[in-house]
Amino acid sequence: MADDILIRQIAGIVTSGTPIVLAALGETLAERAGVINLGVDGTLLLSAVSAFITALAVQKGLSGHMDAGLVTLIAALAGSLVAMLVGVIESLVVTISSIELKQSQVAIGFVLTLLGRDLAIFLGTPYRSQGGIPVLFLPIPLLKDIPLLGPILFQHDLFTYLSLITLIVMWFWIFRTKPGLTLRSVGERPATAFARGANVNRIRYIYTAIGGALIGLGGAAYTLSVNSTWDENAVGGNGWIALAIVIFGGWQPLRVVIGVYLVAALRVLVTSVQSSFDPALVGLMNAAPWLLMIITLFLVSGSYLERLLKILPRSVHPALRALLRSKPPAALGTPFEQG
Amino acid sequence: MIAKPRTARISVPLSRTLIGAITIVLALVAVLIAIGVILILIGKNPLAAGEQLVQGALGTAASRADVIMFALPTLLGASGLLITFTAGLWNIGIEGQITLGAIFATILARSVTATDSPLIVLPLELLLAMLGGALWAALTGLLKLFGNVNEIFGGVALNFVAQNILIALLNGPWKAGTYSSTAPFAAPALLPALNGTRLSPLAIAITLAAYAGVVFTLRGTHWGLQLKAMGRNERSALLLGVRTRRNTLLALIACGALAGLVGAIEALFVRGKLAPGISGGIGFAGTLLALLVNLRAGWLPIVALLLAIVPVGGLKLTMALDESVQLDTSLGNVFQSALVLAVLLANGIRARWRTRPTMQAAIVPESLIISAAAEITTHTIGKG
Repeated sequence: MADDILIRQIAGIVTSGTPIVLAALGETLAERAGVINLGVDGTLLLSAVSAFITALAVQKGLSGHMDAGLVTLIAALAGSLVAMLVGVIESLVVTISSIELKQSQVAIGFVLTLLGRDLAIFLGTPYRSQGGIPVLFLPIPLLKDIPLLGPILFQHDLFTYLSLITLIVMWFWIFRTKPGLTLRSVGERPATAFARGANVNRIRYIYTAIGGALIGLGGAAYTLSVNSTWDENAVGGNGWIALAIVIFGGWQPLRVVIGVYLVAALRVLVTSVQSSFDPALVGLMNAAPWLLMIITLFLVSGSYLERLLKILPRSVHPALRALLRSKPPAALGTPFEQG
Repeated sequence: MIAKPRTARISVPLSRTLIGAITIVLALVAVLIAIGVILILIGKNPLAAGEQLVQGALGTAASRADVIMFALPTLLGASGLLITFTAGLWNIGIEGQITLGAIFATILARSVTATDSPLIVLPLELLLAMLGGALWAALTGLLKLFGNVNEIFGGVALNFVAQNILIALLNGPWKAGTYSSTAPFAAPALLPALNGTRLSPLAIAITLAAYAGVVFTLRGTHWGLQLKAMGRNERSALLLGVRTRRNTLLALIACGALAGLVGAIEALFVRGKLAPGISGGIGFAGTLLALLVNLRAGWLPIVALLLAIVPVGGLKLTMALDESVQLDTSLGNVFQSALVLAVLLANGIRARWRTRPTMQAAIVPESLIISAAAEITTHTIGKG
């Protein structure tokens, strides 16, 4: 049935988008607090390879001592924890250098991108194209039988559920709680937040670290779930996609996640049609996500949205603005001296 | 948020140069220790590996020539980046500009035959390469100026687009035989090598001329001064009458043209054909180099040479038969980026240590000073 194939492909989009959802949400959190963690791409690679190596080592150490399913679970948890630790350490390097050492966040983040990538390639060389641990496939009882939504959302692995839970919790936290309000004010007007009693720099440390842990979890999702093998080319570059999607998503979790699934859908589309095209054309088609990134950044960052609105009926303006307008947190990337 | 370039000083106090040098040496030692620990953990012998690395890079005349040739493209790329960094721009798109330079040079190079005159072919190839790099950089600049797209994101996306264009060309119209690369270029299309060596005098001349030109432009011309003003504070520069939009575009184009030359050297000398991964991370290595010397142009050539020892010597280690020193070349890249990170952190620690006393003085809230000032004013007026 054609519908079944379509549903499976949509579910595939959700699966393959999961690591970028986690990374982009993590970056959203850090940037909401006013910190640019430009090292996402390197962190994804390094946490992905760390999770892979850890999980394999744990599996090797435990197998035979207990039930195979339990071994897989422990291995996946250990790998994820190490990956999150890698993300936290990377984010701490960014925040410490920015807050304590007054170094440029962009410079540190860029160097960390390269360092993370190089270290990941070095550590991962002996593990290249080795099989990983089995994927923790956990269809949720009852929910999985809902028509349409069931197969799309509730027949996944642990990481996909975590990414969706993160989205809901983060949206609620940022827009519906008092600490969330403080977080937003720290990213917008740190001096005002400070005057109202917020410890601006401590808040930046905390949220950037949580964001780093989420980016690390995204890396783990690659090697323990989506690919379940180590291939740097399958991971590299996605950190930059995540960074761009945060801008496209206007620093709003829900829009960010929609952006991720759009890119993932585009990729699934390219992969599914590429067998019927000339290999030279496929090379160009693989550039599609990057062209999309340029075009959307062009649309949301410049004055072109307003010009576009002028030729469209007035009734669609609020919806289009809500969907496309993107304004960064006012204090993004700037240090705050709290004396 | 952008690394501020240093102003050119006529004389830097000796003590400051000394402290700067000590900082870098300490950072270097820290990185070497860290890498040594990693090597011991994976069962290698760091001291023997280090000795073989230096021996492999500097042991013979041929390997010393390799070090020079390896340093050249990085130096050329970093020279271009000095322009953009001075103007306060992050030209992350340099990798794509190198790729486009190589592609544009190939447009001519692949149709050159053995009977053509290199005197006509070579200048045209180099010009084409500069054009390719400059066009790609201009695209980043136009996106920034007209779409408000940050040059970092525009650059990264264009890097990946360039990479895909290269792969598409090498799998399609330019594919030769079964490999995804062009056929080796005919001799007149290539930069000539010095008799019996792997040195290219033309590549050396191009790089040194470009480096000298950049240093002169930044230090000795009005345009260089304008770029410096933009890098310090773009808004003030604009108010002072600097045409910042035009200069942003020009700085990117100048850097892109030099990046295009890097691509030409790679395609027309190092590889002798157009192959996948032609930019080879040289653009990012150049960025690291520029950050490492903190944009002090004078240090660029010597540091580029010193850094080139690692990859050239590292190549020998990959082929080592002795398992205890056999290492993947990727470790050389780890060393390079870790060193830059360590130097940035060490600079920060040094600055913090130096400025601590003044930070104590800044605790008094601004509003308190204002109210105190108001009080003083009213008292004075009252008495008057």
